[in-house]
Formats: sequence, C-alpha cells, structure tokens
Amino acid sequence: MCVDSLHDALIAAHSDNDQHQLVSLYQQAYQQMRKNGHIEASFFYLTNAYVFALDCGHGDADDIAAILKQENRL
Amino acid sequence: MILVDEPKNIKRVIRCPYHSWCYDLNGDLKTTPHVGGPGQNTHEGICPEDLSLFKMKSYVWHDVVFVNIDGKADPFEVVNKELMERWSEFKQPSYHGGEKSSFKLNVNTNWKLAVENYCESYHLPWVHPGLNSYSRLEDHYHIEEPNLYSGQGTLVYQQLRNETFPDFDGLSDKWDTGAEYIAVYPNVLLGAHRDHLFSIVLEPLAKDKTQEHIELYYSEDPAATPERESLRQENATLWKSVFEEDIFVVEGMQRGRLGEHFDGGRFSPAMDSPTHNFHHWVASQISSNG
Repeated sequence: MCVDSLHDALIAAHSDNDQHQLVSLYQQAYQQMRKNGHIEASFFYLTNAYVFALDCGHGDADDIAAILKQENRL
Repeated sequence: MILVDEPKNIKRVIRCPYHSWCYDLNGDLKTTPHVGGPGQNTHEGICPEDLSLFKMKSYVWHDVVFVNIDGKADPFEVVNKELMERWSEFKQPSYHGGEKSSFKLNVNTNWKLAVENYCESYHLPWVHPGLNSYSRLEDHYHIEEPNLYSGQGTLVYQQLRNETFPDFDGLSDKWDTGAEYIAVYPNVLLGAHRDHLFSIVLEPLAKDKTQEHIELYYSEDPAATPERESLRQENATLWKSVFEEDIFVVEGMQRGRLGEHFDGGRFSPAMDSPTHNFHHWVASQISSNG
C-alpha cells in the first residue's frame, strides 16, 4: 500500500473506530518507515499499533511489545 | 479525564482517550505512549509504579457496585452483614431482564427526597391507589436499621397474573406473599420479591435534579425464555408507572422546601420512622464530617 493510500486507510479506520484495522495499518506504517530508514517515525507508528492492540485485545500485542522492548522503547 | 464513560467490554487495558496512557485491569499503568517523545514510550521522569489508578474499596451486591471512596469504611459485607443475612435467600443467580427491563427517570428533586419517599408506606393510599387496592396500608411493616438502611415490607405481594415468572430457588414461606423494599444508604433502593428483584441507583445531577436508574432481575435467563419477554415488559411497565406516580410527590417536596416558612415538617410517630431513620443518618453524616 502506498503512503497516501495508507494514510487514507488510517483516517478511515480512525473514523470507524476499527481498532483491529488500526493495529494492522499502523504495523504496515511501521514496516514502511523502517524500510525507508525513518527509524523514529517507525516506532511512532509501532507504538500506536501497540496501544490499539492492547485496547482491543489484539493477538499481536505481545509481539509488538517484544519489539518495542528489544529496541528499548518500552 | 473520564477513562470510561459508557458501558463497554474492557479487553486488556483501560485506555485514556486523551493521551492513550493505558492501565491494566488492576489499575497499574502499563504503557505511556510517546511520553519520552515520538516513538519513545518511557522517560526517566515518569515512573509508572507511582502512577497507578487510585484503588477504591468496592463490592458488588445485587449487581450494584458499592464504592467506598475515602477507604475508611469497614468492608461492605461487614457493614451490611445484617442486611445481607436478611436477604440471604436471594444469594443465588439472578438475570437482568434485558433492554426493556432497564429504564431511567429524570426527576426535579434532590436525591434524598427520593430516598425519603421510598422508605415509607404512609403515602401509598394516596399516591398509589392501584397498589393500595390489594396492598393496604395495614399490610405493610417498617424496616429500619439505625445508620444503615430502612424501608418497608408488604405481606400481600401478588404476582402479575395467572401467568407468572418462576420463583427464585428455595425461598421460605415468608416470600410467598411477602416483598421488601429497602433503601441502602445513601442512594441505592432495592426491591425483593419471590419472582423478581429490582435496583434503583439514584444519581444526583444537581441539588434539585436526580436521575433514577432502574434495573429489573429475574430467576431465569431471558435469552433462554423468550416466551416470557412480554411478561417481563409488562412488569417493567407496571413498575415504571408506579415510580412515575411518585414524581409529583418528590418534586413537590423539593419545591415546597423553598417556601419561606418551611420548617422541616413533622414526622408521623407511627408511620414515618423508616424515613426518620434516613434523616438521622444524613444528619449524622453531616455532623460527623464537619
């Protein structure tokens, strides 16, 4: 998904309060930023994925937490 | 900030909607997103162990959450031991009657006047003539425990009609035709019958505005007994009409208190002792606090 499409999808998911979708999209944003070398931005997005994963009981929460801890971000 | 302002299923955390600080179900602060800057979720100046939600004593009884905010009270089950024993026969599964068994009434009165009205049977012949046709004044008795609760009981409770709800299990003969209505101080009103219970939580919105939250419960799961949904609705409608009959009374008492010569009125020595019990509790609370 291109950056613009991802942005639009995130806005739509926020509007719909679709937290499972937010977890998925913020993880995609993390991957994109990571791939492009934007490390700080990537962890901004991964943090958001983590928060929504906790909030909605998403199964990825513990895996995301492990990454954040490994990177000394949690 | 209000962390939870509507009924919802909490999953793993309680998330503050403002900055998304998340607390686990014990109230411990679990994560502080971006607190050290974007993508950095810790900061040396923020110690999560010091920032848990405040813990308060609570106890759930008859689906009402009782909370002791200052933490100074003895445990609920100790304070209310006598009352819980009084209604120990109802310590068994009960089921909320569903959407139609939940309603709210907005009343232009102070919450204490709603308690006062609930405590006594003195007004029944005049305010609830329908009830009084079978539940006469002389069929009622006072319930009063100083500093804790008060209310009224009836000896002639009648179920709705030939078609009835199943009784709660194992009740004693007392409940065949008995029912009790008790105000648990300060602001919870409970009713117990052989076949249903109700709770009313009085939410003070202003000094002269109260919202009454009414919930009805039964001995059977409504999801498993759709054939009695109309009967549950009928029962809810009946109680709503009874409670609505009290509105002009409590609103009138509120307005009457603005009268220049209002002096507090007089209690009936014979009929008003449950109400006096509540007044005494209120006065005691005010005087003991200051």
